[in-house]
Amino acid sequence: MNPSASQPAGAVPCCRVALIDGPLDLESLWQEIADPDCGAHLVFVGRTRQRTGSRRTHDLCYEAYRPMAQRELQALAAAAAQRWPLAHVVIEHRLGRVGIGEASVAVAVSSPHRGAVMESIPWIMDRLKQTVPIWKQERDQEGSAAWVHPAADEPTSPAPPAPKSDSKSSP
Amino acid sequence: MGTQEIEVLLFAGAREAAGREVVRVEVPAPAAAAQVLSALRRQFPQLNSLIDSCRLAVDQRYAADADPVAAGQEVVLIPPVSGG
Repeated sequence: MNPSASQPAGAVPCCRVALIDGPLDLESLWQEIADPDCGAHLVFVGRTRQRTGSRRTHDLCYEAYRPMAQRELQALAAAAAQRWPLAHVVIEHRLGRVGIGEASVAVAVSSPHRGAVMESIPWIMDRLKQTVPIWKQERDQEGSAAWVHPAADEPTSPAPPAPKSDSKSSP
Repeated sequence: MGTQEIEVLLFAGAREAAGREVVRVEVPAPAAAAQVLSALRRQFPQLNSLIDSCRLAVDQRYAADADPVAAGQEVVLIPPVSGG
């Protein structure tokens, strides 16, 4: 359990969010959301990819408007817990330098049944990427660095592929 | 109508474009968020490529164009976010 996580007044007891200046402890997140009343547990981890388009990435560097990022993450976790029957919601975002393959963000949720965890994770990630005042700077192998500011009407990730039609697939 | 000086904190690409962490703009008193953004556009043209896609945050909440802004509040220019 992360000893530095203190719940601010008004926080939903099952939710914890944190900005972390160092590697994320993913194993500890699994333990934190473990609950004998929950059949479903899921931890989403976002890691730095080695390339973006044709550019080879050296690393990413994240900064945050910290007090508001903390507030927005807290509101996001609480909103998810209101929208779905989630027993636990934990969101951690790393700040500073994040190397290739290292985790920048983790969202951990648990619920009695799988529907809530399967639906809430994409929703939380989509909202996080739209509202939380955190920014990444991409630093490439050639030595240049650029802050990433997606235009308002530009998709930040490719749309998921349409499901293949398959008469044998089960729901 | 008087004027007031608003301090605006900059992050990421906005800080890089302006070359500083904090800028000050002169706006009417009272003023709305849209007027602070206009003042930033006028007084700091190096922010122009970014500012149309930026939001203003006042006391850690996103401000709509018509929301009031007063000197002494924590005002931050929020360029398009890229966390996660």
